Amino acid sequence: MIYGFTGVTNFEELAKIFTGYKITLFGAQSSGIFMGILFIAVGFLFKITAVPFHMWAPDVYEGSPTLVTAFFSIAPKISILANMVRVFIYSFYDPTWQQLFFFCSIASMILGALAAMAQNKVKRLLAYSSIGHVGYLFIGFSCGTIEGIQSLLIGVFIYVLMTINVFAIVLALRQNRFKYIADLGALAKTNPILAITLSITMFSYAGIPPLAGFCSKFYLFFAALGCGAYLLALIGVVTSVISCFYYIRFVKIMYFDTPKTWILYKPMDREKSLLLAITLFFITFFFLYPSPFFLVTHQMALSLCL
Amino acid sequence: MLQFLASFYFNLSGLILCPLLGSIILSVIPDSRIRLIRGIGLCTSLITFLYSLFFWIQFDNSTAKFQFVETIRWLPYPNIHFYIGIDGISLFFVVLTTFLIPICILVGWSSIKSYKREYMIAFLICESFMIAVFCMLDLLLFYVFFESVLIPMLGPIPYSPIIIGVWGSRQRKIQAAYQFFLYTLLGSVFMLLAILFILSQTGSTDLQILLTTEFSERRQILLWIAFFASFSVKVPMIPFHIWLPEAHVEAPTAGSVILAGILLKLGTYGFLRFSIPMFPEATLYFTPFVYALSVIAIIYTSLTTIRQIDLKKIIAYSSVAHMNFVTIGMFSLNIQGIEGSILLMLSHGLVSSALFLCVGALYDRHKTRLVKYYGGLVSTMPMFSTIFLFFTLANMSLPGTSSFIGEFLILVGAFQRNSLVATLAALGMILGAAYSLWLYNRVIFGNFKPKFLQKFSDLNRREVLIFLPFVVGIIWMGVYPEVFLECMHTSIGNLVQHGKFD
Repeated sequence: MIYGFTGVTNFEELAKIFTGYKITLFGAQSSGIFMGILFIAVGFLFKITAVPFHMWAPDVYEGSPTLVTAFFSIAPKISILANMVRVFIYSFYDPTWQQLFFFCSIASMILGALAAMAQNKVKRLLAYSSIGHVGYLFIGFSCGTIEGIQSLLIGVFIYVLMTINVFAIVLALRQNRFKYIADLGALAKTNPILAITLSITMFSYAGIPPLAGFCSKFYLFFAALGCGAYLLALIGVVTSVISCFYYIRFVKIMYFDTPKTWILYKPMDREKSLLLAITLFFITFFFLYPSPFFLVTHQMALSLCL
Repeated sequence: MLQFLASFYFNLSGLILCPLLGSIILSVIPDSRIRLIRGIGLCTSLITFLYSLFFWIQFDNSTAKFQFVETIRWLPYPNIHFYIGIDGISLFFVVLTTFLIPICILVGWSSIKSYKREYMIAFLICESFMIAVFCMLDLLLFYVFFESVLIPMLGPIPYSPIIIGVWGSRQRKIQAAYQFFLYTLLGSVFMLLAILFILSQTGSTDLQILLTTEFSERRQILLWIAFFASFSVKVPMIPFHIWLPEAHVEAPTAGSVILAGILLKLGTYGFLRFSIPMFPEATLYFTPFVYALSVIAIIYTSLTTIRQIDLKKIIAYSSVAHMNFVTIGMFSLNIQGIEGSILLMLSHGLVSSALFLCVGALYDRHKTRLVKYYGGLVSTMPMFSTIFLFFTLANMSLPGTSSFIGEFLILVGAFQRNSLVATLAALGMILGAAYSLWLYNRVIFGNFKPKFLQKFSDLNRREVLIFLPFVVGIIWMGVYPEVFLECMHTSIGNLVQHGKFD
């Protein structure tokens, strides 16, 4: 539709056409273009599992084989967020979309925090937690400033690392039909290092300092406050605390609960343990020396907009 | 020879890294070599303590500027760096921290049966973060370390030995840990928002720059409330104090010592270092509010203490009362009040920790914390009775002990500001005497309860040696506090003048 109304699909050309072109909700100069952009946005939001269009995520995450789940909880997020940044910030820069993304972000965060509390299957919980995390990433995206894009890039990177870590752990325990969270019980006694890894990753997801998840969240909230999206930051912070509850529940189950049947875990293969070690190292020690990474993402964000 | 030592450049970052080095060394030692683990843990903490004493010796009393300042670059773009320094206010908190950690390690010497190595590592990491909190002069990094103390503290809480008895089920421990964590986190995220707001509006989180920026009064009020949300949970002030008795009851002895000795001070230190200097108008605006909450807290918790039946809960509630005394002193905003509050904080760090150690000694022997099972201990545990008497009198603020000096100065300061508050707070002192003496009476004097307890043993050498530094510290601070106060005069005078409070 965009092509139909503007005659171009090149990003740069679209950017030139749309500067100064007011597309408001009521009385757009060309409602066709508005619909076109809206459809593009909805399509993207579907694939990212942002909130009004997230219904498919928990069921699909739970039903697919874990390897596939791991892949499509990481890869589409990176690629589609990058794509959205190009499309919406480079080409269609307009406050109308900002409101749409604000709403998606708030709803994702709230849903991700609240719905995950009632889950008792691991992969569904991870699905909801990734919905929540996408909500946080959207905070960075919806304020269209350079800090916003920078925080989005940092958040995506750290999210990828944390998700790799979590899914590696889930895969490592897969041998014995690891479906329910309660199966994790007493992991601390049978496999203490894996338990520590999982608890650090969970704390990082919750955004507790001094881990990497905190760095990404603080920068996201900083970007939100910098552009005046106070409600977004406030809701982000409150849902962060709510979600902390069920992340700590993981830790509690591992260390304090005894499962009904003691499950014996086979040791994992070497590549997985290497991967877990690298991502864990990064999550724990990112805090000490984040500046090269921040500089790189700052340059990336600048190069997008200039 | 002393000249040679004095020319050494003592590094604050070295002080923060020292326990971390110890914990890294500990992490590679296998779990079976317990004596080596304990030895390394104790040596690391003692070395850190001596290191921190060097800072005290080399501290210059005549200036209010930050000393031993170091900057480590962290994030260049938003101007956030590891900006470390000490002044008169934070010096003693660092010394208190490094003093209490070896004691905690000694306490866990024989009573922790499992996960010994993780216990030591958690304590050393905790120590390192706590020293970093007190030295950090950058808002965001202060917040980071302020919160990171939660993770290692969360660890030792459930690691006390499993009781095959009626009390202390796992469910309660987990609930206590949850409460501790979530209460503190919820309050703190508002502070995070406030800090990020300050960063985005002024472009820096460096304290020395922020001390000179002026915020408008309305903005100050909002930011002050956000900071208050975080600090008041830690203090703890009255609507948010519920986590403290639960956490104390479920924690092992060493965990209680750290919790009461240092973690509570983080909140009031935050008030003193950040809320009061950066937001002076908002502080003046909210002073009646803080006074009201503190006075209610003192009277309410003192009255509640009288009806408690669990030894640790009694001391936990008395901790709440003392810390609210401290906030009264701080918000009186004159030199006597603030000096009294810092002295009471230090003294509370010593006295409450010692009381928890006494209770821990009883608990190690008889595995129960209920008062009704204890009685007539003076005949079988005379050394313990003497030491317990000393700390009970110190808790009561008997003249001659450090808490008397602290409370006296606080009342002097508060009386100048608002005599009604001072009178009510003094009432709290009387109630403090009531519950302390009654507790001592019930536990130590009176008849035996042979139905419940048959075997007794007095304190062993390790425990007496643990208590001795506390006794020395309390008497020293009580009889000649000028040694401590002289380091604080200039910094506090600077603080009062900065906010134009006089």
